[in-house]
Amino acid sequence: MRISKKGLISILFLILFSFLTIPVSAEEQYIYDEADLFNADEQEELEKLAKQYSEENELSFLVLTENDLGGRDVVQYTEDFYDENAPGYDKKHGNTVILTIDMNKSEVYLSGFGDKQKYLSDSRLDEIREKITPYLSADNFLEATKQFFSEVPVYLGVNPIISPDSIFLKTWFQLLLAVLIGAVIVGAMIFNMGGRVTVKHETYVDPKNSRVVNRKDVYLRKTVSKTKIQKNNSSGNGGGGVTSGGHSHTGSRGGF
Amino acid sequence: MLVHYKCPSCGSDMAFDSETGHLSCDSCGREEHVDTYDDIYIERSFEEDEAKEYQCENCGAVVLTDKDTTATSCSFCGAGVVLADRLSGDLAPVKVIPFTISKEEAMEAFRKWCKNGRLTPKGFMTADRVKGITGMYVPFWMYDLDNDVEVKATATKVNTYTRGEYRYTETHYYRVERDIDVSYLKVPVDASEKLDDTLMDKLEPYHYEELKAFKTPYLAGYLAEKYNYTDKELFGRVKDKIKTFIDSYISSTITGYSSVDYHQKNIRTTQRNSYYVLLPVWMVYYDFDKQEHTFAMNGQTGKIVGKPPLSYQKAAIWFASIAGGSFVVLKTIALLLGGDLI
Repeated sequence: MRISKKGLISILFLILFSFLTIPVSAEEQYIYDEADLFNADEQEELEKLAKQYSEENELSFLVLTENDLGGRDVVQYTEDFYDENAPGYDKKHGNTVILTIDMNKSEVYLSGFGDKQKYLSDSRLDEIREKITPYLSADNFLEATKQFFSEVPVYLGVNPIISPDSIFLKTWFQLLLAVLIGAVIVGAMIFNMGGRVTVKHETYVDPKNSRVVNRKDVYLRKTVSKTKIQKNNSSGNGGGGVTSGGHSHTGSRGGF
Repeated sequence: MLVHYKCPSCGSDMAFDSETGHLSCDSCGREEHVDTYDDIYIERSFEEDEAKEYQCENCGAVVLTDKDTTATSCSFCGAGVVLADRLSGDLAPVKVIPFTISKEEAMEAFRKWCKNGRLTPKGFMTADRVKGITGMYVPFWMYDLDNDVEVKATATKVNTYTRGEYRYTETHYYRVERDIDVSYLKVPVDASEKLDDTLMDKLEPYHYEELKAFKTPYLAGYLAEKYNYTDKELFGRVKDKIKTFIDSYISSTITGYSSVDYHQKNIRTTQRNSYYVLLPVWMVYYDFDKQEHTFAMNGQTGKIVGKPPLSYQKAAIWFASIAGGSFVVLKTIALLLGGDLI
């Protein structure tokens, strides 16, 4: 087979061009362990897990650990990190969930960026954070991170209107409710077998001679009680916000 | 006193026909309007006291009645007879609602009702063991009652709002007072000691447009009873009966509150009127499983009451299907929301 000179050049060009379009993003980093919480093996294991979870869920799973936030708040730090590093599974500044551990103040911050924020609302992140806090308190950062990785997909799989921990999703509760419904309906059927009393006030009332003669509604007093809205041992602004770069996000913050 | 309604044409005994509302003769088919039936065809026989034996004027047989019966049929010749002396003076009913459902219609309706029994045993549904069906005029007292009601209550309105980190609950208290006049017309209470009160209460309502001035011919061919209790004796029962009506009326006048706490509810009931009336009831006696079940049917509207036997097997099937169906629905919703299968 003979190839013309012109054809050869165009093939070469095509090969060169295709090299250029392949993303130069070398191995993507998921674990930024500035506080040295993980040893090399653990770091490698977590990187692998993070990559796997990120691809399965179309959402980047990042873990930031830090001893010194440079005078910044853990929320501010996370926001700045997102602005500067522009992570995201689908695009830069894309779908990302970040676990930030501040060793200095013993604080943890979970945040969700991108399209999946409704699945990772403040309250849902609160629930995840409460599940991993015991591991953090026990200084078991490896297990805490693994729990974080495995919990997030559970929440992504459940409609935002209901918590995955909701009793309505438990089979035993569904069974109990079904049995109750059956018992109430059949019970009412048995009760009404012999006929029901169907007369009421309207049946025999004489409307011409029935009326309210005197009606008084006197305001007496008012009592006010207040309860503090529970903000799960958060310090300051706990929820989400908007980064200086203009990216909105959800979040949950707490100590451990 | 025993009264026969004789046919002006052939001399047979006439009986009240629920379909036409007239007296009709079984032999020749002649019909006579209750209001225009000529008294000369009424045959009367007098007895001295409240004897329990009457002699049928038709066949001469002895009609045995118990002391409360006011109308019956001769057990030998079937002629409808009315015991008029038990329907006069203090015992004279003021009004009557005639039967509009005939014996055949009643039987048919009862069969249909049995067939629809969702929880009754299969053998019961065929309604082939009906021992007897009796059309009976049951004595009722109807009361016209005026009620003077005084209510004092404390009611609250609650609203909640959040300011900053606090949730505030504001409760406003109100003193609520109501003076209410409420009247009820023709509240019926059955006056026969033989019949179960709760059964009779369930038979209501009767339509009062058909309430007719009492005439003895309406009773011909049916059983009828006289009252065992006077209107004074049953006043307590009618007061109990309207209490639930009054309560629902009171709460309908106190609206817009989150909670109402009654301190005082004074109800003064005065009786404006009472009437002695006879209301039509078909009594159905049904032998099933060596037990007799009694049902009552409103002789005007066809409403049937009475406790039928319960099939545990059917109840179990209903329960299983409803509970099972509910579980499938709940599980499906859970799965759609992203829940787990198990």
